[in-house]
Amino acid sequence: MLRGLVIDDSSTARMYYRDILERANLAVDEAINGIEGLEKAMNQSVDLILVDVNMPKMDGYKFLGQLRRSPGLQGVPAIMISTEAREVDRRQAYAAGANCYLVKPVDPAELEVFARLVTGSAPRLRAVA
Amino acid sequence: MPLIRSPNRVMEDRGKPIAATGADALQEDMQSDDAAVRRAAVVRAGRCGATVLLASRLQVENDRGVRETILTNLVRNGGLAAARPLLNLLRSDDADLRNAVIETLQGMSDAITPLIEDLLTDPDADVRIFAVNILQSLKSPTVPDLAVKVISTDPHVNVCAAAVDVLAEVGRPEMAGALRDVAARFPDQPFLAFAVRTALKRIG
Amino acid sequence: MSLPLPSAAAPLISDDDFMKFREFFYRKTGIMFADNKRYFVDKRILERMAISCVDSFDEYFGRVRFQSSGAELQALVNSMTVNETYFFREEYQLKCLALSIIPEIAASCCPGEAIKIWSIPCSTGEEPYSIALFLLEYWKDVDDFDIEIIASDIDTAVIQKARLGVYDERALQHVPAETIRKYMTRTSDGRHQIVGAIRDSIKFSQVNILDANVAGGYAGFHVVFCRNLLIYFDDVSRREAAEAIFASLAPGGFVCLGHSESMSRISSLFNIRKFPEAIIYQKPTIA
Repeated sequence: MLRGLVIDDSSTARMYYRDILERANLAVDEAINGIEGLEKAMNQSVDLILVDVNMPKMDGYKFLGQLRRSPGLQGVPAIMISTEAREVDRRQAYAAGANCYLVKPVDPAELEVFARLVTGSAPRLRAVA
Repeated sequence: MPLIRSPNRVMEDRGKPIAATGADALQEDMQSDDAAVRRAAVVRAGRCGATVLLASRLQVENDRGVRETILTNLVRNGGLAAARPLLNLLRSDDADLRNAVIETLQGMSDAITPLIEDLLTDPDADVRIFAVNILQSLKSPTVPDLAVKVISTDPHVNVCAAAVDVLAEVGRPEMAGALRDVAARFPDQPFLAFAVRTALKRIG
Repeated sequence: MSLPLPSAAAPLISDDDFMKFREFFYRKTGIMFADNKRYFVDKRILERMAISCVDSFDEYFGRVRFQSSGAELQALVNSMTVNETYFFREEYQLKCLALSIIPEIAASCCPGEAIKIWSIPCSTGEEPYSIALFLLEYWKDVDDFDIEIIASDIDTAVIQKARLGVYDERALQHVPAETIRKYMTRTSDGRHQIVGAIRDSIKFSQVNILDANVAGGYAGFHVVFCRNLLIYFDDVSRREAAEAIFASLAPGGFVCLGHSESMSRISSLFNIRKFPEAIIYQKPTIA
């Protein structure tokens, strides 16, 4: 089964993203900051990472930098989630190694679409509201 | 046999002992080229309660280890004098420094609560989010009421969501109304609705 | 599911209470209780509530969350974690030491430079002796290098026991019989004692890791074992201890924490290194 890793210091956010990733057929693990995120990514194979920017001990940018330097983890898809909506922040995220950049509040449908894209599962068709 | 007994070594001098240090020597050591000397000076400054010196060194210190030691010593000292110089750094573009400062403030005693309360009305929504994040770890008994005030009055949905998160842990049953109100104030916000549902379950 | 208790007035912990507690505990310690640990956790919370003379979970949780000393949280951590000492505890780290860490250190050692290892807290000696035995048995180049092991603890009584090096079967249950035969002698009361050559080679000392002046005299270590100590410290003491460990390490030196401890709750000073056997923290080498 494909595995997702959600890295955010808010437990509510982690639960929320977990629900969405599970709908996209991922088994989900959690971490509260970049250090724990790296440990979990190193310990067990992961297919998709969601990472917040502002976290104690190691922020999202530092985490991505370390991730992209870690053997075997350079290519893992990573979605950065941030409160910043400026173009410069988006570019900074991509420069740090993010594959995708979402701004809070995250639209669950959009996140699920990206998750399914990354994991290769078909989009879930629904009637448009 | 490969195991050898460690010889008695003279304890390395990591900087002058506190009693023999004047303020000048402390300042000098804090600017040494040797990070280890700077770090030892920071520890001495921390023990003397020289929080202003520590905070000013923080602004220019590049070494990881020394920076972290400065922050630890500021936490150890706690109080308004240690916290005030840090507040401006919350606006820094350096995410690493910003988060380190948030964490430092989170670790301080509730003597700093009035400062955090001020930040909750800052014009910058990001600073208000950081203030709510600090509330998450503050031990002051006023934290729940401060979080309720945020969800009742803040115009920004992300700030309110962060405060709802705090209430999921420290909220009381009588705060249920305020939680429902903030969900109603921001309709069409699935994360906020989720956060409010979670908080309502947790507050009992 | 809440567990009914004998007394009609006994407090219950609801599912939402459990989740609230679990998230708080995970945030503070990094330990996440799986759903199947529910009984384990509930039992200990109820015990602490009884000791604290509090009969509502809400009131107890409020106390833990808002207490400025953090003493009740520390008491909870103590009750939730099992801390027993025996030889070859958390063996995967000892394997990592012998198969990955020490070979890497040895490869960059100067000729004649001893490899320095610090075990703190050493308690009654199981850990430093385990390190010694593992290296003697499993590090293939052990005869080509000098190894200094320093073992420290805050408690002089346990240091005394450690110096004597006498252990019963329970402490040795994970040690292969051949290893016991090789490095230990039988005592008159049926226990085993570490051979004199090894006992004499380890330097035991009393140290409080938070006392920066003393710990500052301990420097240049290649490996520090600091297992199952920091989890019992409050947040700021943990940071100070991590900084003291950082200062005690040579650049590129390694620190091993207990299996349920993580630098993610302690300090951002260290890099994370993944070895085949374990994840270990490393002080950055000089750029």
